[in-house]
Amino acid sequence: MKSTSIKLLLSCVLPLAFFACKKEIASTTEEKGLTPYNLVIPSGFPAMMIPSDNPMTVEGIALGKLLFHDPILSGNNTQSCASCHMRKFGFSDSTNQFSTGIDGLKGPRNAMPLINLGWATQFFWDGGAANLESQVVGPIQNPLEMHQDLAAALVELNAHPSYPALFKKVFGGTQIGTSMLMRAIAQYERTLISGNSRYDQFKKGATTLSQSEMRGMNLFQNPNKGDCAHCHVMGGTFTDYDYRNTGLDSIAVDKGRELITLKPLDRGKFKTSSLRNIEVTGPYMHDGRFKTLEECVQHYNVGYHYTQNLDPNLVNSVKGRLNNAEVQDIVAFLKTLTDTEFLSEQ
Amino acid sequence: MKLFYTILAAALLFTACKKETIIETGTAAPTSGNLSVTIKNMVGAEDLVLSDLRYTNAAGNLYSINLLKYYMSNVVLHKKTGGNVNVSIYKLIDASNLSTCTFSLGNLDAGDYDSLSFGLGIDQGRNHTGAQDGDLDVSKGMYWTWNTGYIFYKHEGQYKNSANQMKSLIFHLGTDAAYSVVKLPINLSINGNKTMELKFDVNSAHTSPVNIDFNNDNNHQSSSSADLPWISNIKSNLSDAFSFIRVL
Repeated sequence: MKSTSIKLLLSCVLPLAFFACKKEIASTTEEKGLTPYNLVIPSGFPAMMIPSDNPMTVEGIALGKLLFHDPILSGNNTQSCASCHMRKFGFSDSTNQFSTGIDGLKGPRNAMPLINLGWATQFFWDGGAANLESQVVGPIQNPLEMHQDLAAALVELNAHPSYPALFKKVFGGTQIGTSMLMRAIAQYERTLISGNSRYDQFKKGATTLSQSEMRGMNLFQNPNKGDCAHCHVMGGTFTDYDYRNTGLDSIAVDKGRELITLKPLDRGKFKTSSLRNIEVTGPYMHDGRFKTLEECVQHYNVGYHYTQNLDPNLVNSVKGRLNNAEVQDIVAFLKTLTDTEFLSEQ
Repeated sequence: MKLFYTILAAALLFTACKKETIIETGTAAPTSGNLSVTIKNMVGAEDLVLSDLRYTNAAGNLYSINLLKYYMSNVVLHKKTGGNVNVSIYKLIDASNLSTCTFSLGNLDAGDYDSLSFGLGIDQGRNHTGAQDGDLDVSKGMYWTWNTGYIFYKHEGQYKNSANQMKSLIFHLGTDAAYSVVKLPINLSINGNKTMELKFDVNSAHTSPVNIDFNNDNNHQSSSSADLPWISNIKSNLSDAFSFIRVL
Protein backbone atom coordinates (compact mmCIF):
# COMPACT_ATOMS: atom_id res chain seq x y z
CA MET A 1 0.00 0.00 0.00
CA LYS A 2 2.74 2.35 1.03
CA SER A 3 4.78 1.49 -2.00
CA THR A 4 1.81 2.06 -4.25
CA SER A 5 1.12 5.46 -2.78
CA ILE A 6 4.73 6.52 -3.29
CA LYS A 7 4.58 5.34 -6.86
CA LEU A 8 1.36 7.24 -7.28
CA LEU A 9 2.92 10.32 -5.74
CA LEU A 10 5.90 10.08 -8.05
CA SER A 11 3.80 9.52 -11.13
CA CYS A 12 1.88 12.67 -10.28
CA VAL A 13 4.70 14.87 -9.05
CA LEU A 14 7.31 14.08 -11.69
CA PRO A 15 5.20 15.06 -14.70
CA LEU A 16 4.21 18.21 -12.83
CA ALA A 17 7.85 19.12 -12.35
CA PHE A 18 8.52 18.78 -16.06
CA PHE A 19 5.35 20.60 -16.96
CA ALA A 20 6.43 23.55 -14.84
CA CYS A 21 9.76 23.75 -16.68
CA LYS A 22 8.19 23.46 -20.09
CA LYS A 23 5.68 26.17 -19.34
CA GLU A 24 8.44 28.58 -18.38
CA ILE A 25 10.32 28.05 -21.63
CA ALA A 26 7.35 28.34 -23.94
CA SER A 27 5.11 30.99 -22.49
CA THR A 28 3.08 30.83 -25.62
CA THR A 29 0.79 33.21 -27.35
CA GLU A 30 -2.25 31.01 -26.70
CA GLU A 31 -1.53 30.82 -22.97
CA LYS A 32 -1.74 34.60 -22.79
CA GLY A 33 -5.14 34.46 -24.46
CA LEU A 34 -3.80 35.91 -27.70
CA THR A 35 -4.50 34.75 -31.23
CA PRO A 36 -1.41 33.77 -33.26
CA TYR A 37 -1.29 35.61 -36.58
CA ASN A 38 -1.23 33.46 -39.67
CA LEU A 39 1.36 35.10 -41.87
CA VAL A 40 0.74 34.46 -45.58
CA ILE A 41 4.03 34.47 -47.51
CA PRO A 42 3.68 35.12 -51.26
CA SER A 43 5.25 32.59 -53.61
CA GLY A 44 8.83 33.42 -54.56
CA PHE A 45 9.56 34.90 -51.13
CA PRO A 46 11.68 33.18 -48.48
CA ALA A 47 10.34 32.51 -44.98
CA MET A 48 10.12 35.61 -42.79
CA MET A 49 12.31 35.64 -39.70
CA ILE A 50 10.19 36.73 -36.76
CA PRO A 51 12.15 37.69 -33.63
CA SER A 52 11.51 35.19 -30.84
CA ASP A 53 10.77 38.00 -28.38
CA ASN A 54 8.04 39.45 -30.58
CA PRO A 55 5.72 36.74 -31.91
CA MET A 56 3.00 38.11 -34.15
CA THR A 57 -0.53 38.08 -32.77
CA VAL A 58 -3.79 39.42 -34.12
CA GLU A 59 -4.11 41.61 -31.02
CA GLY A 60 -0.52 42.89 -31.22
CA ILE A 61 -0.90 43.78 -34.89
CA ALA A 62 -4.21 45.58 -34.25
CA LEU A 63 -2.54 47.60 -31.49
CA GLY A 64 0.41 48.39 -33.76
CA LYS A 65 -1.92 49.53 -36.52
CA LEU A 66 -3.77 51.79 -34.10
CA LEU A 67 -0.49 53.33 -32.90
CA PHE A 68 0.83 53.72 -36.43
CA HIS A 69 -2.17 55.89 -37.29
CA ASP A 70 -2.40 57.79 -33.99
CA PRO A 71 -0.95 61.35 -33.76
CA ILE A 72 -0.57 60.80 -29.99
CA LEU A 73 2.98 59.68 -30.77
CA SER A 74 4.07 63.11 -32.02
CA GLY A 75 5.20 66.03 -29.89
CA ASN A 76 2.07 68.13 -30.41
CA ASN A 77 -0.27 65.27 -31.35
CA THR A 78 -0.66 66.42 -34.95
CA GLN A 79 1.20 63.75 -36.91
CA SER A 80 1.20 59.98 -36.91
CA CYS A 81 3.53 57.55 -38.69
CA ALA A 82 0.84 57.35 -41.39
CA SER A 83 1.09 61.10 -42.06
CA CYS A 84 4.26 60.50 -44.08
CA HIS A 85 3.78 56.79 -44.80
CA MET A 86 0.52 56.53 -46.76
CA ARG A 87 -0.65 53.19 -48.05
CA LYS A 88 -1.71 54.38 -51.50
CA PHE A 89 1.87 55.58 -52.05
CA GLY A 90 3.35 52.28 -50.86
CA PHE A 91 3.57 53.82 -47.40
CA SER A 92 5.79 56.65 -48.65
CA ASP A 93 5.03 60.38 -48.48
CA SER A 94 3.07 61.11 -51.68
CA THR A 95 5.14 63.19 -54.07
CA ASN A 96 7.07 65.06 -51.40
CA GLN A 97 10.84 65.05 -51.85
CA PHE A 98 11.27 65.69 -48.14
CA SER A 99 8.60 65.31 -45.49
CA THR A 100 7.63 68.16 -43.20
CA GLY A 101 7.72 67.41 -39.46
CA ILE A 102 5.52 68.83 -36.71
CA ASP A 103 7.70 71.93 -36.35
CA GLY A 104 7.47 72.75 -40.05
CA LEU A 105 11.01 71.49 -40.63
CA LYS A 106 12.04 69.19 -43.45
CA GLY A 107 14.40 66.23 -43.13
CA PRO A 108 17.35 65.57 -45.45
CA ARG A 109 16.10 62.25 -46.87
CA ASN A 110 13.04 60.96 -48.72
CA ALA A 111 10.48 59.06 -46.60
CA MET A 112 11.03 55.36 -47.26
CA PRO A 113 8.25 53.11 -48.51
CA LEU A 114 7.24 50.47 -45.93
CA ILE A 115 6.90 47.30 -47.97
CA ASN A 116 8.02 43.76 -47.13
CA LEU A 117 10.00 45.00 -44.13
CA GLY A 118 9.90 41.58 -42.49
CA TRP A 119 12.65 40.43 -44.85
CA ALA A 120 14.98 43.33 -44.16
CA THR A 121 17.55 43.16 -41.42
CA GLN A 122 18.50 46.83 -41.12
CA PHE A 123 16.43 49.97 -41.53
CA PHE A 124 16.69 53.60 -42.66
CA TRP A 125 18.53 54.62 -45.85
CA ASP A 126 21.85 54.06 -44.09
CA GLY A 127 20.85 50.91 -42.18
CA GLY A 128 21.26 52.70 -38.85
CA ALA A 129 18.44 50.80 -37.15
CA ALA A 130 19.54 47.27 -36.35
CA ASN A 131 16.04 45.77 -36.37
CA LEU A 132 12.47 46.81 -37.07
CA GLU A 133 11.61 47.24 -33.39
CA SER A 134 14.56 49.61 -32.90
CA GLN A 135 13.62 51.62 -35.99
CA VAL A 136 10.19 52.51 -34.64
CA VAL A 137 11.31 55.20 -32.22
CA GLY A 138 13.63 56.96 -34.68
CA PRO A 139 11.02 59.10 -36.47
CA ILE A 140 9.03 59.57 -33.25
CA GLN A 141 12.00 61.18 -31.54
CA ASN A 142 13.59 62.96 -34.51
CA PRO A 143 13.22 66.77 -34.07
CA LEU A 144 12.68 67.06 -37.85
CA GLU A 145 9.87 64.52 -37.82
CA MET A 146 7.40 63.71 -35.02
CA HIS A 147 9.64 65.37 -32.40
CA GLN A 148 8.31 63.61 -29.34
CA ASP A 149 10.23 62.85 -26.16
CA LEU A 150 9.82 59.12 -25.56
CA ALA A 151 9.32 59.50 -21.82
CA ALA A 152 6.55 62.04 -22.55
CA ALA A 153 4.97 59.67 -25.08
CA LEU A 154 4.87 56.95 -22.42
CA VAL A 155 3.20 59.31 -19.94
CA GLU A 156 0.51 60.11 -22.52
CA LEU A 157 -0.03 56.47 -23.43
CA ASN A 158 -0.20 55.37 -19.79
CA ALA A 159 -2.81 58.06 -19.07
CA HIS A 160 -4.89 57.22 -22.15
CA PRO A 161 -8.41 55.79 -21.61
CA SER A 162 -7.89 52.69 -23.77
CA TYR A 163 -4.19 52.07 -24.51
CA PRO A 164 -3.14 50.70 -21.08
CA ALA A 165 -5.64 47.81 -21.33
CA LEU A 166 -4.69 47.06 -24.93
CA PHE A 167 -0.97 46.98 -24.11
CA LYS A 168 -1.56 44.87 -21.02
CA LYS A 169 -3.54 42.33 -23.02
CA VAL A 170 -0.73 41.97 -25.59
CA PHE A 171 2.41 42.40 -23.50
CA GLY A 172 1.37 42.01 -19.85
CA GLY A 173 2.97 44.22 -17.21
CA THR A 174 1.45 47.12 -15.39
CA GLN A 175 3.00 50.06 -17.24
CA ILE A 176 3.45 50.68 -20.94
CA GLY A 177 7.19 50.63 -21.71
CA THR A 178 8.94 51.79 -24.86
CA SER A 179 9.81 48.21 -25.82
CA MET A 180 6.09 47.40 -26.03
CA LEU A 181 5.45 50.36 -28.31
CA MET A 182 8.33 49.23 -30.53
CA ARG A 183 7.12 45.64 -30.65
CA ALA A 184 3.50 46.50 -31.45
CA ILE A 185 4.32 48.80 -34.36
CA ALA A 186 6.93 46.35 -35.69
CA GLN A 187 4.31 43.58 -35.64
CA TYR A 188 1.97 45.69 -37.74
CA GLU A 189 4.72 46.68 -40.14
CA ARG A 190 5.64 43.03 -40.74
CA THR A 191 2.13 42.51 -42.15
CA LEU A 192 2.73 45.07 -44.92
CA ILE A 193 3.49 42.41 -47.49
CA SER A 194 3.24 43.07 -51.21
CA GLY A 195 3.65 40.11 -53.54
CA ASN A 196 0.65 40.10 -55.84
CA SER A 197 1.60 42.46 -58.65
CA ARG A 198 1.02 41.78 -62.34
CA TYR A 199 4.58 40.45 -62.45
CA ASP A 200 3.70 37.90 -59.74
CA GLN A 201 0.53 36.91 -61.57
CA PHE A 202 2.58 36.53 -64.76
CA LYS A 203 5.00 34.23 -62.89
CA LYS A 204 2.07 32.10 -61.83
CA GLY A 205 0.81 31.98 -65.41
CA ALA A 206 -2.32 33.92 -64.49
CA THR A 207 -1.69 36.85 -66.81
CA THR A 208 0.51 37.94 -69.69
CA LEU A 209 2.83 40.91 -70.03
CA SER A 210 2.96 43.24 -73.01
CA GLN A 211 5.79 43.06 -75.58
CA SER A 212 7.39 46.16 -74.07
CA GLU A 213 7.13 44.79 -70.51
CA MET A 214 8.66 41.49 -71.64
CA ARG A 215 11.55 43.29 -73.36
CA GLY A 216 11.95 45.39 -70.21
CA MET A 217 12.14 42.30 -68.02
CA ASN A 218 14.92 40.88 -70.18
CA LEU A 219 16.82 44.19 -70.27
CA PHE A 220 16.42 44.45 -66.48
CA GLN A 221 18.29 41.16 -66.07
CA ASN A 222 20.79 41.49 -68.92
CA PRO A 223 24.21 42.28 -67.34
CA ASN A 224 25.30 44.17 -70.48
CA LYS A 225 22.13 46.26 -70.64
CA GLY A 226 20.02 47.29 -67.65
CA ASP A 227 22.02 45.16 -65.22
CA CYS A 228 19.40 46.09 -62.61
CA ALA A 229 18.98 42.60 -61.14
CA HIS A 230 22.55 42.65 -59.86
CA CYS A 231 21.29 44.57 -56.81
CA HIS A 232 17.51 44.57 -57.29
CA VAL A 233 17.48 40.79 -57.16
CA MET A 234 14.82 39.33 -59.47
CA GLY A 235 11.70 38.10 -57.67
CA GLY A 236 10.88 38.29 -53.97
CA THR A 237 11.64 41.72 -52.55
CA PHE A 238 13.65 42.97 -55.56
CA THR A 239 16.53 44.13 -53.37
CA ASP A 240 19.69 42.64 -51.92
CA TYR A 241 19.44 45.00 -48.89
CA ASP A 242 23.08 45.98 -49.40
CA TYR A 243 24.53 49.52 -49.41
CA ARG A 244 26.03 51.10 -52.49
CA ASN A 245 27.38 54.36 -53.78
CA THR A 246 25.65 54.75 -57.12
CA GLY A 247 27.54 57.86 -58.18
CA LEU A 248 24.74 60.34 -57.57
CA ASP A 249 27.32 63.04 -56.76
CA SER A 250 31.04 63.49 -57.41
CA ILE A 251 31.41 64.39 -53.77
CA ALA A 252 28.80 62.82 -51.49
CA VAL A 253 26.70 65.51 -49.81
CA ASP A 254 25.16 63.00 -47.41
CA LYS A 255 27.72 60.59 -45.95
CA GLY A 256 25.12 57.82 -45.84
CA ARG A 257 26.31 54.49 -44.48
CA GLU A 258 29.55 56.06 -43.21
CA LEU A 259 27.53 57.80 -40.49
CA ILE A 260 26.78 54.35 -39.08
CA THR A 261 29.97 52.36 -39.65
CA LEU A 262 32.35 55.36 -39.28
CA LYS A 263 34.27 53.88 -42.24
CA PRO A 264 35.24 56.28 -45.06
CA LEU A 265 34.79 53.39 -47.52
CA ASP A 266 31.06 53.58 -46.81
CA ARG A 267 30.79 57.25 -47.76
CA GLY A 268 27.80 58.01 -49.95
CA LYS A 269 26.44 54.47 -49.73
CA PHE A 270 22.70 53.93 -49.31
CA LYS A 271 20.47 50.91 -49.12
CA THR A 272 19.29 49.27 -52.34
CA SER A 273 15.57 50.10 -52.56
CA SER A 274 12.97 47.44 -53.10
CA LEU A 275 11.30 47.96 -56.47
CA ARG A 276 7.93 46.70 -55.32
CA ASN A 277 5.27 49.37 -56.08
CA ILE A 278 8.03 51.65 -57.33
CA GLU A 279 5.52 53.32 -59.68
CA VAL A 280 3.82 55.04 -56.73
CA THR A 281 6.72 55.62 -54.31
CA GLY A 282 8.46 58.48 -56.10
CA PRO A 283 10.31 60.77 -55.95
CA TYR A 284 13.32 58.47 -56.00
CA MET A 285 16.75 57.98 -54.41
CA HIS A 286 17.63 58.72 -50.77
CA ASP A 287 17.18 62.42 -51.39
CA GLY A 288 14.20 62.18 -53.71
CA ARG A 289 16.11 63.93 -56.51
CA PHE A 290 14.45 62.08 -59.37
CA LYS A 291 10.75 62.60 -60.06
CA THR A 292 10.32 59.86 -62.65
CA LEU A 293 11.42 56.29 -63.22
CA GLU A 294 12.87 57.35 -66.59
CA GLU A 295 15.26 59.68 -64.75
CA CYS A 296 16.29 56.80 -62.47
CA VAL A 297 17.01 54.40 -65.31
CA GLN A 298 18.86 57.13 -67.22
CA HIS A 299 20.98 57.79 -64.14
CA TYR A 300 22.23 54.19 -64.24
CA ASN A 301 22.53 54.40 -68.02
CA VAL A 302 24.47 57.66 -68.40
CA GLY A 303 24.14 59.87 -65.32
CA TYR A 304 26.39 58.36 -62.66
CA HIS A 305 29.59 60.08 -61.56
CA TYR A 306 32.90 58.27 -61.29
CA THR A 307 33.21 59.06 -57.60
CA GLN A 308 35.30 57.42 -54.93
CA ASN A 309 33.47 54.30 -53.65
CA LEU A 310 31.40 54.02 -56.86
CA ASP A 311 29.86 50.57 -56.93
CA PRO A 312 32.08 48.16 -58.92
CA ASN A 313 29.11 47.13 -61.09
CA LEU A 314 28.83 50.72 -62.31
CA VAL A 315 32.60 51.18 -62.61
CA ASN A 316 32.57 48.26 -65.06
CA SER A 317 29.46 49.39 -66.95
CA VAL A 318 29.45 51.15 -70.29
CA LYS A 319 27.73 54.52 -70.31
CA GLY A 320 24.93 54.89 -72.83
CA ARG A 321 24.36 51.15 -73.15
CA LEU A 322 20.58 51.65 -73.28
CA ASN A 323 18.74 53.53 -76.03
CA ASN A 324 15.61 55.53 -75.25
CA ALA A 325 13.24 52.76 -76.31
CA GLU A 326 15.07 50.34 -73.99
CA VAL A 327 14.79 52.79 -71.10
CA GLN A 328 11.03 52.95 -71.76
CA ASP A 329 10.81 49.15 -71.81
CA ILE A 330 12.55 48.86 -68.43
CA VAL A 331 10.18 51.46 -66.97
CA ALA A 332 7.22 49.50 -68.38
CA PHE A 333 8.54 46.38 -66.64
CA LEU A 334 9.03 48.27 -63.35
CA LYS A 335 5.37 49.25 -63.44
CA THR A 336 4.36 45.57 -63.51
CA LEU A 337 5.57 45.48 -59.89
CA THR A 338 2.62 47.61 -58.79
CA ASP A 339 0.37 45.63 -56.45
CA THR A 340 -3.03 47.35 -56.59
CA GLU A 341 -4.50 44.98 -54.01
CA PHE A 342 -1.79 45.93 -51.49
CA LEU A 343 -2.13 49.65 -52.20
CA SER A 344 -5.89 49.69 -51.72
CA GLU A 345 -6.26 47.49 -48.62
CA GLN A 346 -7.93 49.02 -45.61
CA MET B 1 12.41 -1.34 -4.32
CA LYS B 2 10.27 0.39 -1.73
CA LEU B 3 13.39 1.82 -0.15
CA PHE B 4 14.58 3.07 -3.52
CA TYR B 5 11.39 5.04 -4.07
CA THR B 6 11.51 6.44 -0.57
CA ILE B 7 15.07 7.67 -1.06
CA LEU B 8 14.26 9.05 -4.49
CA ALA B 9 11.24 10.90 -3.20
CA ALA B 10 13.18 12.28 -0.25
CA ALA B 11 16.04 13.35 -2.52
CA LEU B 12 13.64 15.09 -4.86
CA LEU B 13 11.92 16.89 -2.05
CA PHE B 14 15.05 18.08 -0.33
CA THR B 15 17.22 19.05 -3.31
CA ALA B 16 15.22 22.16 -3.95
CA CYS B 17 15.50 23.26 -0.34
CA LYS B 18 19.19 22.52 0.18
CA LYS B 19 20.21 26.18 0.15
CA GLU B 20 17.92 26.93 3.07
CA THR B 21 19.60 24.38 5.32
CA ILE B 22 21.13 26.02 8.35
CA ILE B 23 24.30 24.44 9.65
CA GLU B 24 24.41 24.79 13.40
CA THR B 25 27.85 24.90 14.95
CA GLY B 26 29.25 26.05 18.23
CA THR B 27 30.52 29.40 16.98
CA ALA B 28 28.52 31.52 14.54
CA ALA B 29 29.72 30.67 11.04
CA PRO B 30 30.01 33.53 8.52
CA THR B 31 26.71 33.98 6.77
CA SER B 32 25.90 34.97 3.24
CA GLY B 33 24.41 38.38 2.71
CA ASN B 34 23.09 40.91 0.30
CA LEU B 35 25.66 43.19 -1.29
CA SER B 36 24.63 46.62 -2.37
CA VAL B 37 26.92 48.98 -4.22
CA THR B 38 26.95 52.74 -3.84
CA ILE B 39 28.67 54.83 -6.50
CA LYS B 40 30.09 58.13 -5.30
CA ASN B 41 30.41 60.48 -8.23
CA MET B 42 33.25 62.82 -7.34
CA VAL B 43 35.67 65.29 -8.82
CA GLY B 44 39.03 64.76 -7.18
CA ALA B 45 38.38 64.59 -3.45
CA GLU B 46 34.99 66.30 -3.36
CA ASP B 47 31.47 65.09 -4.09
CA LEU B 48 30.25 66.10 -7.53
CA VAL B 49 28.34 69.38 -7.67
CA LEU B 50 26.30 69.65 -10.86
CA SER B 51 26.05 72.76 -13.02
CA ASP B 52 28.84 74.69 -11.33
CA LEU B 53 31.87 75.97 -13.21
CA ARG B 54 34.31 74.93 -10.51
CA TYR B 55 36.49 72.15 -11.85
CA THR B 56 39.87 72.25 -13.52
CA ASN B 57 41.32 69.34 -15.46
CA ALA B 58 45.01 68.58 -15.88
CA ALA B 59 45.06 70.54 -19.14
CA GLY B 60 44.03 73.59 -17.09
CA ASN B 61 40.50 73.88 -18.52
CA LEU B 62 37.90 75.30 -16.15
CA TYR B 63 34.72 73.26 -16.66
CA SER B 64 31.33 72.20 -15.33
CA ILE B 65 29.26 69.03 -15.36
CA ASN B 66 25.58 69.70 -15.98
CA LEU B 67 24.66 66.13 -16.78
CA LEU B 68 26.45 62.87 -16.00
CA LYS B 69 24.97 59.48 -16.81
CA TYR B 70 26.57 56.13 -17.56
CA TYR B 71 25.87 52.41 -17.66
CA MET B 72 27.52 49.82 -15.42
CA SER B 73 26.88 46.23 -16.48
CA ASN B 74 27.87 42.58 -16.15
CA VAL B 75 29.41 42.67 -12.68
CA VAL B 76 31.85 39.92 -11.74
CA LEU B 77 33.10 39.45 -8.17
CA HIS B 78 36.26 37.39 -7.75
CA LYS B 79 36.61 35.25 -4.65
CA LYS B 80 39.91 35.30 -2.83
CA THR B 81 39.91 31.52 -2.75
CA GLY B 82 39.17 31.32 -6.45
CA GLY B 83 35.96 31.36 -8.44
CA ASN B 84 33.72 34.13 -9.66
CA VAL B 85 30.22 35.35 -9.02
CA ASN B 86 28.61 36.78 -12.16
CA VAL B 87 25.76 39.23 -11.82
CA SER B 88 23.91 40.08 -15.03
CA ILE B 89 22.92 43.68 -14.49
CA TYR B 90 22.41 46.78 -16.65
CA LYS B 91 22.44 49.76 -14.35
CA LEU B 92 22.10 53.36 -15.40
CA ILE B 93 23.84 55.74 -13.01
CA ASP B 94 22.46 59.28 -13.13
CA ALA B 95 24.44 61.75 -11.03
CA SER B 96 21.40 63.97 -10.65
CA ASN B 97 19.43 61.21 -8.93
CA LEU B 98 21.12 59.60 -5.92
CA SER B 99 18.65 56.71 -5.83
CA THR B 100 20.16 55.48 -9.11
CA CYS B 101 23.63 55.42 -7.54
CA THR B 102 22.88 52.53 -5.16
CA PHE B 103 21.95 49.11 -6.43
CA SER B 104 21.90 45.53 -5.20
CA LEU B 105 24.06 42.72 -6.53
CA GLY B 106 21.91 40.15 -4.76
CA ASN B 107 22.87 37.54 -2.21
CA LEU B 108 26.52 36.50 -2.06
CA ASP B 109 28.17 33.53 -0.35
CA ALA B 110 30.05 34.32 2.82
CA GLY B 111 33.76 34.86 2.28
CA ASP B 112 36.38 37.24 1.02
CA TYR B 113 36.33 38.89 -2.38
CA ASP B 114 39.43 40.62 -3.65
CA SER B 115 38.50 42.07 -7.00
CA LEU B 116 35.57 43.33 -8.96
CA SER B 117 35.05 43.86 -12.66
CA PHE B 118 32.18 45.42 -14.57
CA GLY B 119 31.36 46.63 -18.05
CA LEU B 120 31.30 50.35 -18.62
CA GLY B 121 28.54 50.50 -21.20
CA ILE B 122 26.51 47.78 -22.88
CA ASP B 123 28.05 44.61 -24.27
CA GLN B 124 27.71 43.80 -27.96
CA GLY B 125 25.07 41.16 -27.25
CA ARG B 126 22.67 43.72 -25.79
CA ASN B 127 23.78 46.84 -27.66
CA HIS B 128 21.98 46.20 -30.92
CA THR B 129 18.33 46.36 -30.13
CA GLY B 130 16.28 49.02 -28.46
CA ALA B 131 13.36 46.77 -27.51
CA GLN B 132 14.54 46.29 -23.93
CA ASP B 133 13.19 47.11 -20.51
CA GLY B 134 14.29 48.49 -17.15
CA ASP B 135 17.32 50.77 -17.33
CA LEU B 136 17.67 49.76 -21.00
CA ASP B 137 14.29 51.28 -21.89
CA VAL B 138 15.20 53.69 -24.66
CA SER B 139 13.13 56.48 -23.14
CA LYS B 140 15.97 56.93 -20.60
CA GLY B 141 17.72 59.17 -23.12
CA MET B 142 20.75 56.91 -23.45
CA TYR B 143 20.01 55.45 -26.89
CA TRP B 144 20.69 56.62 -30.41
CA THR B 145 17.49 56.17 -32.39
CA TRP B 146 19.21 56.86 -35.74
CA ASN B 147 21.98 54.35 -35.11
CA THR B 148 20.81 51.52 -32.87
CA GLY B 149 22.96 51.40 -29.78
CA TYR B 150 23.27 52.79 -26.30
CA ILE B 151 25.16 55.83 -25.15
CA PHE B 152 27.50 54.28 -22.60
CA TYR B 153 28.66 57.50 -21.00
CA LYS B 154 27.26 60.99 -21.24
CA HIS B 155 28.85 64.15 -19.86
CA GLU B 156 27.40 67.50 -20.86
CA GLY B 157 28.54 70.79 -19.44
CA GLN B 158 30.54 73.90 -20.23
CA TYR B 159 34.16 75.01 -20.27
CA LYS B 160 36.17 78.17 -20.71
CA ASN B 161 38.25 78.06 -23.86
CA SER B 162 41.71 79.49 -24.41
CA ALA B 163 40.11 82.81 -25.43
CA ASN B 164 38.26 82.83 -22.09
CA GLN B 165 34.86 82.22 -23.72
CA MET B 166 32.23 79.87 -22.33
CA LYS B 167 31.65 76.95 -24.68
CA SER B 168 29.62 73.76 -24.40
CA LEU B 169 31.05 70.36 -23.66
CA ILE B 170 29.29 67.38 -25.18
CA PHE B 171 30.68 63.91 -24.65
CA HIS B 172 28.51 60.98 -25.76
CA LEU B 173 30.46 57.75 -25.74
CA GLY B 174 29.18 54.63 -27.44
CA THR B 175 29.59 51.98 -30.19
CA ASP B 176 30.90 48.48 -29.55
CA ALA B 177 34.49 49.67 -29.78
CA ALA B 178 33.91 51.91 -26.75
CA TYR B 179 32.83 49.11 -24.40
CA SER B 180 35.38 48.48 -21.69
CA VAL B 181 35.71 46.19 -18.72
CA VAL B 182 36.81 47.98 -15.57
CA LYS B 183 38.76 45.91 -13.01
CA LEU B 184 39.24 47.06 -9.44
CA PRO B 185 40.96 45.57 -6.40
CA ILE B 186 38.48 45.45 -3.53
CA ASN B 187 38.58 44.37 0.09
CA LEU B 188 35.21 42.79 0.76
CA SER B 189 34.24 40.22 3.34
CA ILE B 190 30.68 38.99 3.12
CA ASN B 191 29.31 38.07 6.52
CA GLY B 192 25.76 39.32 6.49
CA ASN B 193 24.49 42.27 4.45
CA LYS B 194 27.11 44.75 3.24
CA THR B 195 27.33 47.97 1.27
CA MET B 196 30.38 48.61 -0.87
CA GLU B 197 31.26 52.15 -1.85
CA LEU B 198 33.03 52.84 -5.14
CA LYS B 199 34.31 56.16 -6.38
CA PHE B 200 34.03 57.53 -9.89
CA ASP B 201 36.29 60.52 -10.44
CA VAL B 202 35.05 62.59 -13.38
CA ASN B 203 38.26 64.59 -13.50
CA SER B 204 40.28 61.43 -13.87
CA ALA B 205 38.12 60.53 -16.88
CA HIS B 206 39.60 63.53 -18.66
CA THR B 207 43.07 63.32 -17.23
CA SER B 208 44.60 59.93 -16.72
CA PRO B 209 46.31 58.26 -18.48
CA VAL B 210 45.46 60.53 -21.45
CA ASN B 211 45.36 64.25 -20.85
CA ILE B 212 42.34 65.61 -22.74
CA ASP B 213 42.36 69.34 -23.56
CA PHE B 214 38.85 70.67 -24.04
CA ASN B 215 40.14 73.28 -26.48
CA ASN B 216 40.73 70.38 -28.86
CA ASP B 217 38.15 67.86 -27.68
CA ASN B 218 34.85 69.37 -26.61
CA ASN B 219 32.15 67.81 -28.77
CA HIS B 220 32.31 64.08 -29.42
CA GLN B 221 29.19 62.06 -30.09
CA SER B 222 30.77 58.85 -31.41
CA SER B 223 29.20 59.55 -34.80
CA SER B 224 32.11 60.14 -37.16
CA SER B 225 35.51 58.68 -37.86
CA ALA B 226 36.95 61.89 -36.37
CA ASP B 227 35.64 60.69 -32.97
CA LEU B 228 37.66 57.47 -33.01
CA PRO B 229 40.86 58.77 -31.33
CA TRP B 230 38.77 60.39 -28.57
CA ILE B 231 36.80 57.15 -28.07
CA SER B 232 40.04 55.28 -27.56
CA ASN B 233 41.41 57.92 -25.16
CA ILE B 234 38.39 58.33 -22.93
CA LYS B 235 37.86 54.60 -22.86
CA SER B 236 41.24 54.06 -21.24
CA ASN B 237 40.70 57.04 -18.95
CA LEU B 238 37.33 55.72 -17.77
CA SER B 239 38.84 52.36 -16.91
CA ASP B 240 41.18 54.23 -14.61
CA ALA B 241 38.59 56.55 -13.05
CA PHE B 242 36.91 54.08 -10.70
CA SER B 243 38.25 52.99 -7.32
CA PHE B 244 37.26 51.11 -4.21
CA ILE B 245 36.48 53.25 -1.15
CA ARG B 246 35.25 50.99 1.64
CA VAL B 247 32.72 48.43 2.81
CA LEU B 248 30.05 49.31 5.37
